[in-house]
Amino acid sequence: MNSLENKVFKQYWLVIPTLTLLLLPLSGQSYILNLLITCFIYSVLASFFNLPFRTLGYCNFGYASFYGVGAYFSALVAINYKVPVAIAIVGGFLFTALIGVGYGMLLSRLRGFHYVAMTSWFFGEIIRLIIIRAVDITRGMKGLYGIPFIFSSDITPYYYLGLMLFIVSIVTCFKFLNSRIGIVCFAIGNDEALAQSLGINTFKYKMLVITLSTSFAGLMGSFYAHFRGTITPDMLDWAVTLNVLVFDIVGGMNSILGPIIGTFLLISLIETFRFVLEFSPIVLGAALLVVMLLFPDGIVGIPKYISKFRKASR
Amino acid sequence: MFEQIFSLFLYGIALGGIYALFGAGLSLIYGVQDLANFAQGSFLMLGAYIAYFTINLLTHEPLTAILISFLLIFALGIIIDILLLDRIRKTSGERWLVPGFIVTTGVMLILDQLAFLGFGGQYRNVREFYPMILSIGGIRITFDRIFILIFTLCVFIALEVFIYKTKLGRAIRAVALNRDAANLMGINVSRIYAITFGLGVGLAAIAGSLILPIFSIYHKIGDETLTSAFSVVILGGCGSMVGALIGGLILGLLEAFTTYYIGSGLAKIFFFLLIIIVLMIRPTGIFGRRPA
Repeated sequence: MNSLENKVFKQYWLVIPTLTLLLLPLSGQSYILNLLITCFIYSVLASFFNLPFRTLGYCNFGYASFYGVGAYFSALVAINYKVPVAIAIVGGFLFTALIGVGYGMLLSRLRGFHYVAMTSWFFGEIIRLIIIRAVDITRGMKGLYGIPFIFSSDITPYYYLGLMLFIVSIVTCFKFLNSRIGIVCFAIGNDEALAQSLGINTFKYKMLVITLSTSFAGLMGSFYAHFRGTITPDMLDWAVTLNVLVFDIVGGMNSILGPIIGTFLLISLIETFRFVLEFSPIVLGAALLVVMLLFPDGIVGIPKYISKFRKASR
Repeated sequence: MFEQIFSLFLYGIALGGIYALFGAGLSLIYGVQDLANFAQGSFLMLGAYIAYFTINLLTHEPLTAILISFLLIFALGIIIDILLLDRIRKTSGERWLVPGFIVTTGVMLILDQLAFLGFGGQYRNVREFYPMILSIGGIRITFDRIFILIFTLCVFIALEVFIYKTKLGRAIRAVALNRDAANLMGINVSRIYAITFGLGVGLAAIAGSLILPIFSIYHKIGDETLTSAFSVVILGGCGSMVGALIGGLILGLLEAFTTYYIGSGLAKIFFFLLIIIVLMIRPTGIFGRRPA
């Protein structure tokens, strides 16, 4: 954790975006609110995807499947057993956390970036295929519809709920990374053998990070399901994970603000150029390449890059 | 019954040969550069399109089409390596594992979508390479399956000869073993990396061309078969060509039989489970030589 980030979180200018976000519903632009809710969901996904990636170096390619599992679980529970929506969402969170524990046990045994990437990818594919194949329960490719909503039709309460979830998740992420556990996780990512030799139970910590990361994906999935009212297996697609990865890298994976900035920027970019939607993967890919080649620290790293450049040119 | 099993077996072998080529390219790049090339599927797709258009517009000779496809993708691979990967290698140095894979992901996103914009989303296929039907002991089989198998074996023999008998192949092996030492011995490491990348994706292009009489191709064919390529590498071990061949054949046979007997969805689930179990028990792959 660098000191710059600590400073950022204590600075007063943060009041301005917070106030803007709080007061935005007064404008009554439901289109913008919708867009922002999408941004909230994806920035939480990106931040928590980044959590194991940044600390342990675990690139979780099955990430989207947890997003989808949370959505399907809470939707099915709410439809079939008439469970109140709030409890269903918490259920989605807990259920993905439960799967995340097993998943964490699986991944924690592995060493090496590629093995983790492959295993998580195949695991995600298995979950996706199961959801597609279990037609009796999930209606397969047709997806679920008629999922009970959280609030009545107005979008403003959704917006505030989304904002709340967003802030809670980001603060959780921040607190986690700054806590002793977070620092231990960084140590494990740096040198696992060394961490073990210092008496750290690396297995436990790795499992914890992975569980935390997947459970928040599940939470966001449940929120999405009850916000939209319809879900399809496309939510579990590998492409979603890739998008989240791109948001992460473009924003800057070595900071907390990076994934958030990347998500807001890229989603608004894609939305602005919606009339040429076919080009959006090219835009994402090109953004990824430009960032990787020019500023490996992402958009967040640009100020640092500029100041370094200035010093060098002096 | 026997007829059924025999024709499934042939189908599995042909499919396995294609997967073996696809995975061998991935394995070669991985073995030499330590790079998981996520764009491998896109190169397979592009190779398939090039071969398709060559066969339909220029010539009906599949060998020429495969050669053209291989050469074009080989050149594209070298260009991408020089323009993108080489720079990342220079800036990130030893820790280029993650940045390198991210760059290939970006390449994959761009190439897939460009193919969609250029060729449209419709399915295309070539009915057959050679309109011949052989009959062995009363069982009728299309000649293409045999052709794919023979061609795959030839490519693998050529690859082994190239890697173990030529000077360039020796340089590639040296770089794979120890980059710095190879550099000190006067080997141009950047050049070797570029050639390896070109060769690896060129193998994917061959696999893509051979896929034409078996599958219909469209712009996402690469993504769908990418899991198979990685499975070949997992089964066969990184950087081992013989391993890739054996892994590919196992994979093809497994897919042919399980898909026929239990349906494609369930077959895929069992298959992914199997790969995860292999990864748990033997992370270096069944035939892997290099420690993790």
